[in-house]
Amino acid sequence: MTNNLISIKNLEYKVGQNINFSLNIKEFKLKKSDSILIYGESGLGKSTFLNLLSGTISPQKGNIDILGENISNTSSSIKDRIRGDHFGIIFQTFNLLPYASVKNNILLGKAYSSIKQSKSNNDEIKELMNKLSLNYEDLINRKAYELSIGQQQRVAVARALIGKPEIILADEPTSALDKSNQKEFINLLFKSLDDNEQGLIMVSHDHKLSNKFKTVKNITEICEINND
Amino acid sequence: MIKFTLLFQSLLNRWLSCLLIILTLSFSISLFFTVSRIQESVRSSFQNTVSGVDSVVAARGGNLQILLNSVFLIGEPNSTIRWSTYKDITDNNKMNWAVPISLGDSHKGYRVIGTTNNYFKEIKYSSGKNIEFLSGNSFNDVFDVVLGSAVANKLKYNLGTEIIITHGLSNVGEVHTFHSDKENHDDHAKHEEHDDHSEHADEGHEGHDHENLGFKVTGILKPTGTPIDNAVYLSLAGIEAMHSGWIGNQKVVDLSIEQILQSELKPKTISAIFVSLKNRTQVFQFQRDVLNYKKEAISSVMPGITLSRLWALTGNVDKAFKIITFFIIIIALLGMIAMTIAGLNGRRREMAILRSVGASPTNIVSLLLVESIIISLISCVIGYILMIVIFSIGKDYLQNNYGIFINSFSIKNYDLQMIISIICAALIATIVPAIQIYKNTLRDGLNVKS
Repeated sequence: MTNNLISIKNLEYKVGQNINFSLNIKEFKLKKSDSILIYGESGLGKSTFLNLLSGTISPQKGNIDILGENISNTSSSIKDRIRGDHFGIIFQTFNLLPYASVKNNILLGKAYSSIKQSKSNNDEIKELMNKLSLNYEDLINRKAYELSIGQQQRVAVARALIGKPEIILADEPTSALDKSNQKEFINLLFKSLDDNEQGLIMVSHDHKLSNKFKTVKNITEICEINND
Repeated sequence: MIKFTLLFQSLLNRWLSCLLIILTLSFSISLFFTVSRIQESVRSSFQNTVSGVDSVVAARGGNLQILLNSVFLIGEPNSTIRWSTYKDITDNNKMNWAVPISLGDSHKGYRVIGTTNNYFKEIKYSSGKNIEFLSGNSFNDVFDVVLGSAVANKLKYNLGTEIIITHGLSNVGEVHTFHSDKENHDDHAKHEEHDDHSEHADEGHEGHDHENLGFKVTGILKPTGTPIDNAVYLSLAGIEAMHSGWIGNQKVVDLSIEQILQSELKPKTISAIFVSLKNRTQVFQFQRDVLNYKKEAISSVMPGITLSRLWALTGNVDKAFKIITFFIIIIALLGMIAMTIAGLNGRRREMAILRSVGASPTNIVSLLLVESIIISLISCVIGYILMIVIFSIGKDYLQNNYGIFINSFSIKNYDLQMIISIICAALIATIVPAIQIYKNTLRDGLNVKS
């Protein structure tokens, strides 16, 4: 089996006829246990890049292989399944369903994937919360809206990690946090990752948090973007 | 399981708009069920009332009025016909049996029917069921009285209770007829010598208690679910006795019971005759005989045909009502669409989160559909319960005021069909927001819009 979690070759993506936005990627790879920080100004296609990786949009040309499976030409339902089975995704902010408990928010992470469910046991929530410095007894039944932003983001990490997906995508997960929390968040994120062979791609507008990452790249080094 | 938990929590999170949708839907659904129930009950209680009567003979007048008056005890009594006419009708060779009735008096708002013992023997209800006695038996004596089951129940009368009959229809209007405001105790010309009471017609006189004459309850009928339950039955002699010494609404002579019993208590007039023919096919010939009767202007009404005419007349009103309530349901569903669509923008974050954990746009659309199934199902259940409550509260009112008998409650196949079609309609209505949400999820992808 290939060591590549993600492998992109000669990808071309274009939007619409009136708005001219195109994004080309010659080559991109994410290997097991790899961690990549992609930084760059906003509007340079970071979101498009993540949407392409996670299969919510499709390129016109080129290949995207996820764990050896080419998703660029498959149906959207297969892409949805692959995303559910192999990805853990963390957003900038508002990651959680505010009305649901911490427990249900974390469980949601594996609700649409039988693979994640089979890889996950009953203690996983507790373990994840411990690793992320979340007090299990205290927080497990609390509603998401009762938590601080920092706690919410850590619960979001737990949701992304539950069921041990191979690929973790994080879209500016620290932007809503203050400096000391940012650092702590990154530390906890990496601490939770260590045991597995998970690959992490994090997108951020600055690269101050880069010291933990194996690879740090500007978005422009990965994609060639035309926006006129 | 977790998906369902989250679905319910999501609904609870939007409880106010959900509650409003459920309220509007359930009210309109209960309205629909109530209207169709009343419709059915009116129809069946009307149709069940006459059975085995081929013709109603009465003074010439509108067929409908004669029928409503004599069979359903609704509206003002007609003019009367002579006793001799009754005799002549019974001599008709096509006759199987004939039961005379005399109307125009009341007891505490319930109409009094003066008749013969044959009434209980011959008159049938609900396609051929006999009238049966719950207790006691028919009248033997002038001052005996038989009560319909509703009368006995409401007024808590037992066998042996002495009651006073009111001359005229006091309070009947308020309690029993459609024309309550116009009702008056028209003296129905029981006394031929004094048949002009127009001066009393609009004065709203109370009826006059025949206070000296106590009638004794000798029999109580079993419930029939027809106007039969709502009447008080006297012998024709009893009716005569009650009016002895009275001219119209005036008591002219105080007579003792002995004096009354000594006088000849033969009826001079009656209100109508229920007729059964030996051969039903002769009904038109009989009708011709009646029209050709020379001594008095009388007519023969065929209950079945007249009822069908009545339905032809009211059927359209019925339909209009049904259509209106149907539209009310549609309006409620439109409200549901509007609220769902208005709520979609606020739920884009929720959708993006679901997408990120692997939910397909189809999953998200089905989530919306399940939501509307839940909402419409809850609304149907509440609406249905509401209807049951409305009927259990309003049952007596309907029975007393409009003579509509609601049978004991049962869930009908029709209801289930209706509930299923309402849920289907709700699903169809959800297509619009579903398309919207499908587009949103495709466009938004994982970009959280908030």
